[in-house]
Amino acid sequence: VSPRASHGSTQRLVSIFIVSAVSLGAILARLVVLQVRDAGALESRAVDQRIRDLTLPAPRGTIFDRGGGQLAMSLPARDVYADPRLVRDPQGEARTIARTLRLKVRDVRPLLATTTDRQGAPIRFVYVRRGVDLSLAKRLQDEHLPGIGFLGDTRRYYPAGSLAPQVLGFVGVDGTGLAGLEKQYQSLLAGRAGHEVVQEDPSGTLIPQAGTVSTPPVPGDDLVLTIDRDIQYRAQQSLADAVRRNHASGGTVIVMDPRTGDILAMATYPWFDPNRFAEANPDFLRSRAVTDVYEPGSVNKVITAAAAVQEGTVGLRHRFMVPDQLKVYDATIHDAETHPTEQMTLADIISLSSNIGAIKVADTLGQQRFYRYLTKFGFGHTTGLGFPGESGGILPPVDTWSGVSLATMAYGQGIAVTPLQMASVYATIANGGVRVQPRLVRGTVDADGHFQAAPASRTRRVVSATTARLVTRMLSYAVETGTGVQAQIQGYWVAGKTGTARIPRQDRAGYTRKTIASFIGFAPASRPSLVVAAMLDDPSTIYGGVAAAPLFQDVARFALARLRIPPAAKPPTPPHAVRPG
Amino acid sequence: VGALVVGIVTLQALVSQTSFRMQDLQARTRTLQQQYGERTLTVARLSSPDRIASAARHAGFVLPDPSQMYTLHVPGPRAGASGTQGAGSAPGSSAVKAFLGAQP
Repeated sequence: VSPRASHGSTQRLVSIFIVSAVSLGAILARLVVLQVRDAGALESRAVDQRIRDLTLPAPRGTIFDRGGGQLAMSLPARDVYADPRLVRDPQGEARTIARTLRLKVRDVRPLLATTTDRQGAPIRFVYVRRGVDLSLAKRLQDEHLPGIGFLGDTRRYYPAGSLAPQVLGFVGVDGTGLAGLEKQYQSLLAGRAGHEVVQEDPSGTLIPQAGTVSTPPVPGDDLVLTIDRDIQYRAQQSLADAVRRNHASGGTVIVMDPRTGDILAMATYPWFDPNRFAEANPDFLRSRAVTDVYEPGSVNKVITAAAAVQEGTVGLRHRFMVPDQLKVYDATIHDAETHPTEQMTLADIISLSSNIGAIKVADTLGQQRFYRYLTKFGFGHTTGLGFPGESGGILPPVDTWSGVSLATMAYGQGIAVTPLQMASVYATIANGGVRVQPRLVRGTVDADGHFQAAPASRTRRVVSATTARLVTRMLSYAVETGTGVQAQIQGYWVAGKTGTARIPRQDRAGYTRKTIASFIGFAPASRPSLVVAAMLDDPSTIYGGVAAAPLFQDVARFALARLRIPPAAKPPTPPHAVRPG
Repeated sequence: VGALVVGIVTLQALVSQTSFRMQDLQARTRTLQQQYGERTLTVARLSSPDRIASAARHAGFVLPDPSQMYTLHVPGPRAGASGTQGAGSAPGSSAVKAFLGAQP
């Protein structure tokens, strides 16, 4: 081998070595970059591509009526979302989505076509529709639209439609209770969402044995209400009929069991369909039986009478001289009808609903004692129901009363209460003078199906059993011969009282010509099992005895039959001075 | 060694197969739960008072007029103590029989 050839060979070897060394160095450098410098970022990208973190929505608890009928329930659903930057044909995809989900193209297209927000930042996620039925979502999924994705969710259904909507309330698109019991028992009904981490291949198929981390969702508890859906339905139908018949603007009906405080029905007209609450008039969403106050009028005379009997300031045989009008301080107060000055017992005053008589009875008590009884019967504070937005009514402190306050409050003007507070007063008399806190929930059922009864309602004695019995006799007499004759129920003795309350002006002191007509009573009078409060707002028939008593009769008759409550003995007729009729 | 490799591969294949089957069964469980929920909702809708009242009206049922209804007082230890506010007195058995006519 010549030295020249040997030199050339060495040069080639050196060149190969250098190229190899440089190549290996480059590979090594790249390896260091990938394995050391970028390792974290690359691993995280790999995890992002492979691993999916899913939220498993917790099934919201069902709401049952007292008989086990579903009033509200949830089913799995899907949320449809879009990543507008991945959407290729906004118009075409909007048309497909609108057709499948029964939406309007003009509502969907902007969601898909808008790729940046007002600040110019890219939009990578926008909800197209939440709570879509699984079948519809599946149809849309099968279209394989670019940029459209799906998330697990649940949807709330109210299978009985417009049955007790203000009591049940409704939930928003994010599953949060926004009103009624759905709001009050949000934490109990909602449960706790679960979590699942799964690994998928590029086609979206789960990789078996790749390891998943799963925290199952905790379902919400079910709620069993005191509401009886048949009585509730009948109360709503009767109320709607009464509103139409009397050209009223609205109304309320409450049905209670005075022994347990269970509210069997609570209807407010007008109502709405909770399945479509967003379309409802906001004024119809409130359960006005507990959220709104009104001046009760003559139904309040039951407190005046009970206080006087309990305090012994008026004997049953005591006769008052009652004219048809009376000057009190700077006002002249009238009875509803003109009549000559006549003798009336307490039973006559209740039966004929004399305002002047009630004023004379309240005078025997004085302001402090009368105020104490208004408070004892529950005025001025909430009933303890805990319902969202519940009002405690308006009971002015006694030291702010004017010269006519005692007189007007004796017949139910100048104070404001909720219909439920007023129903609770009659329930107290019906329950032998013991007030039982009203309740809407009988108990809960956990995920394992165990029923947990709600604690018994709180009780408090307000007047003695004797007082309650004597007042019941007067109320029964009022239905037998007085202003409440239209509340009579064939086969039963009913105790109750009419009320015709004037509605205060909103703009200044004084009253409008409008009235709230009411009748509150219980049956059977001598063994009360049911209290029904019926109220109509601004009826053309004006008076409680004409407008509301038939509504009471209709609801109470149905409820007595439904609950199979047998008739009971007639209460003794109380001493009276005015000839009936 | 060869047998060990074949054994491991076979075991791995069986585990994967079982895993796929589990996924299928879980999916089926979800579908059946969904169907159960939908049927429960359907039953709840069908048994709602509004639907039943409407179906009854269509079938020709009507609510009785109060004047067509009698409340029967079952004689008991305190019979005679009770009366009726609306009717003045409870209808006797002859009145009820007259109302019922030839019906049992």
